Formats: sequence, C-alpha cells, structure tokens
Amino acid sequence: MKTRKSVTSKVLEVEGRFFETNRDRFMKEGAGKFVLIKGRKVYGFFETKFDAIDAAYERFGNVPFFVHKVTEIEEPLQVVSYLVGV
Amino acid sequence: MAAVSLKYPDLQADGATVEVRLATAAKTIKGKPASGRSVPLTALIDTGASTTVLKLGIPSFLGIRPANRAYVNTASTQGMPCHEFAISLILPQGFKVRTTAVELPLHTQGIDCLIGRDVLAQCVMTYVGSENQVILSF
Repeated sequence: MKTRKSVTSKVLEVEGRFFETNRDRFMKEGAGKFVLIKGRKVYGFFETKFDAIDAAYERFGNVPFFVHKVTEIEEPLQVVSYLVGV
Repeated sequence: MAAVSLKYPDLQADGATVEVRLATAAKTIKGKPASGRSVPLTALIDTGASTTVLKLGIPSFLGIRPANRAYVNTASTQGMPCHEFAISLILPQGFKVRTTAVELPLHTQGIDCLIGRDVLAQCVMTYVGSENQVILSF
C-alpha cells in the first residue's frame, strides 16, 4: 500500500503546517469547531464548515484559504471507487 | 419533500449517473454577489466515497480556489494530501447542494465527478433496481 503520494501543489502548505504545529492549542480553543486560517494567522473558530467558508469569502475574496475541523486526530476521507486513479 | 427522479436503460451496468452543473459555493465575495458561472458535468453517485470528488483540473477551469488541505484514503493509497473546494452542485430541476469536494484524478472517460455520501447525507436516496430508477428526495 502506497502512502502520501501527493496530487496537490504547494498551495495551503503553510497553513497546513501551521495547523499541525498548533493543533493542541486549537483543541483547547475550539475542539470540534472549524478554524479559518490564512497564512499563519487565525481568523476565528466557527460552528459549521460553511459558516467559516462564507466568512472567508467575505474577508479574503476568491483566494485560497484554509478551513479545517479541529480534531485531536486527523481522520482521512475515504474514497474507495475504482474510478479514482491514485 | 421535492424529488429528482432519474431513469436509466441499465442501472446495474452503468451505475447511477446524473447530469449536474458545478459552480462556486460562494454566495457573496467581499460583499458582492458571486459570479454565476457554472459548467455541466456528468457525475456518478458513489456510496463508496465519503466525500464528493472532482476530476483533476475542473476547479481551476472554473476559477475555484482551494478551501482546505485534506487527506484521503483510496483503494491503493493512505493519507494522501489533496485540496478541498467549496462547491455548489446544481442537480436536475434546479436543486442546489452546497458541499465540499476533493480534487483527484479520475481514470475514466465521461465521468467528471463522484457524488459522495456528503451529498447523500442531505437527501433521501431511493434505489429502485427493478425499475432502473434512482430517486433523490430533498
């Protein structure tokens, strides 16, 4: 079984690393909520994913931003279809 | 409850495909209404996918920027990083579903999108195999 073969560009790598580095702190501030991050700055914790996404479009416009559920352990999405080419 | 009824020549052989339109999930961008640009896609309803999947290249074609960096397990890969996008799927009869979708290569002709359980979580799906019919009720 292959592991962590990437199909992404480096977009949002900074935010992803920032989230991982601060995951424990975020767990104390907003466990189970959705955090909005741009660069290395937190712009709030939101009850739902789309609350955070709507806030991001309002604040930043149509640019990459990072909305991620704050959980202790990352749970990967599951896509078992044979149509997926990775 | 309103419903989308889908009929097929051979549901077992072909799977439950549906013609959708895809657009950004943004309602407003910096206080202005988001542009209404959308593209038609052929999607396959896939109960094996926990999330909706877009074929590689479609988000950039539509100008939709990533809204998250997620990790995906597939049949052959574990913990693969990929981008997640906020989208609106417009189903037949105009039903609009806001959700997020990951971007992955789809190695098949004619399928641009897998509709995952994130969309099915927002409706009732009735699979009538004996009638080659699928009904999505919202």
